[in-house]
Amino acid sequence: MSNDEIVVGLNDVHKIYPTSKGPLHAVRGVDLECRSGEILSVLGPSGSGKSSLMRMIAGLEQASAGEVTISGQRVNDVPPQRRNVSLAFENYALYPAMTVQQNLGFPLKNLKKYDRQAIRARVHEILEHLNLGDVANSKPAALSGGHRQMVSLGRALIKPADVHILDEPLSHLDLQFRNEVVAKLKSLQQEHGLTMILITHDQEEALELADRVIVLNDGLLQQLGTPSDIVMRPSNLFVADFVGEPPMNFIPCRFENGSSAPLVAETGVEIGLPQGAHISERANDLLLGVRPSELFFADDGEMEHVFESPAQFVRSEQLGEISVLTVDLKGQLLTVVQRRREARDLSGDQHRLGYRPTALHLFDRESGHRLNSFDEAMRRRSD
Amino acid sequence: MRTEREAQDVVELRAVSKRFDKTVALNEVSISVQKGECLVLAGPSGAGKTTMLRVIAGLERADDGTVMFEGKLATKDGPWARRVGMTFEHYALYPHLSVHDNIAFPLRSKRAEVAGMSESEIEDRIKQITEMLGIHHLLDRQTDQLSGGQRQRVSLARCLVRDASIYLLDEPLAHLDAKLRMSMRTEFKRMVSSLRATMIYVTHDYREAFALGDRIAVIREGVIEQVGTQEEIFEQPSTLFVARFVGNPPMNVVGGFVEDGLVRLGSAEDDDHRALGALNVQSGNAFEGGPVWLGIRPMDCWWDGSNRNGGLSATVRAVKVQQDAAQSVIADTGREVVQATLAAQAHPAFGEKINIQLDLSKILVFEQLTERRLGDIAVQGAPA
Repeated sequence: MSNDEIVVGLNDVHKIYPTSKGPLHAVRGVDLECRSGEILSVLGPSGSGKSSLMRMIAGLEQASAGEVTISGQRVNDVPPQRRNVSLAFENYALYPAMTVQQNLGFPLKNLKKYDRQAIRARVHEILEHLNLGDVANSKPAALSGGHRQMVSLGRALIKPADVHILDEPLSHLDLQFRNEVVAKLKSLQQEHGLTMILITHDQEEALELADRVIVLNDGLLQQLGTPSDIVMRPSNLFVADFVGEPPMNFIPCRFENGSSAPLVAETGVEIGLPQGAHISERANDLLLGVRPSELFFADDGEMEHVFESPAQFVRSEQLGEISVLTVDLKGQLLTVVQRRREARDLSGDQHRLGYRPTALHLFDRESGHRLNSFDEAMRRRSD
Repeated sequence: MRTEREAQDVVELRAVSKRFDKTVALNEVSISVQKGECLVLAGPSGAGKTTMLRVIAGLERADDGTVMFEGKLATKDGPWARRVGMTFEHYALYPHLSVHDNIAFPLRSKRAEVAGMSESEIEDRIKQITEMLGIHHLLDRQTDQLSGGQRQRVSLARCLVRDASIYLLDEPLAHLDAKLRMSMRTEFKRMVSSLRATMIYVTHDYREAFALGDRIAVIREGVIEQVGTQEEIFEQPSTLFVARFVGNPPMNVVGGFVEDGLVRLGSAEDDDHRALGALNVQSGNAFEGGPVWLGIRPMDCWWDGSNRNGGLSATVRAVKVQQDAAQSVIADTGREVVQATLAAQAHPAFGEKINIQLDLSKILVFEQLTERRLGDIAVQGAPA
C-alpha cells in the first residue's frame, strides 16, 4: 500500500512565539517525513510542541525557521485553505439537532469547491465507507453509541485531503467502541490509502493506531520509530519514562569495572547478567530500566537471571486484569505487574525477582541516552 | 443480627429517587455504607454519582425514598444537621487565603458540631492531617503558588480536617495527569486505611475504583447495577454494562443463542451458526433458550498463528502494540469487532482470516433481552 512518496515534510522547523517573558521556543528544529498511506503519530505531553507542529502543517501558524512541504511543494507561505490538509479538532461532539447526513456534510458547507450536489455525493461516499447508510436520516440521539462514534469519525475524515490531521481521535471515545473505530480507521487506511497524522498525548492511542510514532518533548524530537521500537527500545530516559503504565522502574547502578560485569546497584544489590556483559562506552553513572511487566517472581527457580538479594513484599493493588505489586529490593522500591491469570498470592513474604536480560534497558544517567552496546551484548549472549 | 448490622451503617438509602424536570437522576437507589468502609461509586458521567453524594450530604432532597443517617431518619434534614465532609471535583480553594487558613476554614465556621473547638485543638487537628498528606511545609503558602497535586491535597485536607461521620469525595483525582493520579491513588489508599474513616469515593475510572474500594457500586442512568468487591465485579458482573465498564481492553461481546443445551454463535436465523460448546446448567435455571450475548475478555482469547478449528473466525483489522510490549490483534467477525492476545511468534496480516481460540470456561452468558448475566450457566468444551 504505502509507497515512499512523502506527503508531509518538515525540515529543521522551528517555532518561536514572542511572549511578555521573552521568546518561547516551542518547536526547536524538528525533521519529519510522513509517507503516503501511513498513519504517523506525534506523541508528547502537553507543552511539548505538538500543537504548534500540527498548526504549522495545517498552515494556521507560520514556521519561524525551516521548511514545510506538502506533496513536494514548499508551503511555508501558502494559506491553510490552499493546502490540501484536513484538520479535525478536539471537538468531536455531534450537533444534536442535525441528522447524520447533515452532521457529516457540515465541514464542507462553506468550502467553495462544494455546492449542494457535491456535498451530497461526498456524504454518500462516506456513509458507504462507514456502513452508515441505514441511519443517514437519524438524529444523533437515536443512534447506538457505536454508530455515534462512527459518524464523528466520518465527519473528521469527510474533507478529501492529501493528509488528515486528527487531534486525539480516540481519547474521547467510550472505551467499548474504541476497537471498532481502530478497525475502521485501519480499514480506511488500507482500502483507500488515507494518510493520517495523529496528534496525541495518549500513548495508548499512539501505539495502537500508528505505523510510526514520533515522540516529542520540549520542542525536540526524542525518538522516531515503530510502536514496538518505542516500547522495546526507548532511545532515551524521557521516552522510557513517558511510555508505559505503570512506569518503568529505574535502578541507579554502575559497572564495578567501569564497563563490564558485575553490574551493581547503588543499594549494593548485584544485578545478575549473562557472562561477558559489558558496554563499549565509559559511563560511571547508569540507570537500569526494567518494565514492571518484565519482572517475574522466580521462586520456582525457573529464572536464570535474578537479583542477588530477595525482594520484600510491600503492597499490592488488584486492578482487574492485572495486579500491581510494590516490592522492596534492599531499600529500592520496584513495581511489578502480574497478569491476573498468572497471579499467585505473594503477600508478606520474601521473593526472588527474575528478569530476561534482553528486556533490560541501560541508560547513561547524565546524558539520558540509551547505551546501545549493552543491548547488543545482551542479544549476543541470549542467542 | 440485623439490628447490629444496621447500627453499623453510617448512611443508608432506601429506594431513593431524584428527578430534575423530566430527567430521572436517581431511580430507587438502595445502598448502605458501613462504618469504616470505603465505598466507591463508579460509573460514566451523567450516571447520577454526584446527585447521590448531594442527596447524602443534604444538598439535594430526595423526591421519594428514605435517607438514614447513623440509624436516624434524615431525609428532610439540611446539610448542617449531618456530620459530613465533602470535597468537590473542582478544588474551590479560597485564593486570598493561605493554605493554613483554607484548611482551618471549616473548623472556624459557627456550626454546632465544631463550635466547641479551641484554637489549640484546631491547630493540632490541622497538623495531624497536613502531616499525613505531606503538605505541612506548605501551610504558609498562598494557594495560587501550588501545583495541581498540592492543591488537590489541600482540598482533601480541608475535607478531612472536620470530624465527620462520613466523607464524600467527588472525583478528587480527576484533574491530575495519569502519573500523578497513580501515585496519589496509592498514597490515598494508605491514608484511608490509617484514618479508618467512612467514605464514599466517586470516580469514572474502574482502576481507581478497584484500587480504593472495599466495595464498589456501579451506577448507570440512576440505577445501581451491582455492588460488590473488585473480584465480584470483575469476574461475576451482574449485567452486560458492568462487564464492559470494567477492564481495558473491554470485554469482547459476541451474539449467540442457546438451543437444545448448546451455545451457538450468531442468531437462530443465520445459516452458518456453529456450536461453541455445551451448556452446563449448574442448578435449576429458568433460562430455557434464546438469544444471548457471550462475553469474553481479550486476555482469555488468543491467536498463536495456527488456525485450528473451533473458536471465533474473524478478519484481521489491526495489530496493536501494548504499553507492556505484548501485542494483540483486532479482528472483525462480520458482526462484531473483537480483540485477542497474540502469541509472540504470530504475525497476522491485514485482511487475513484467523480462528481465535477461546477459553470456554471464561465465557459469561448474558440474556439479550434483559442484559443480565445468567449466573448458573457455563460453556463447556466443544461438542463437534
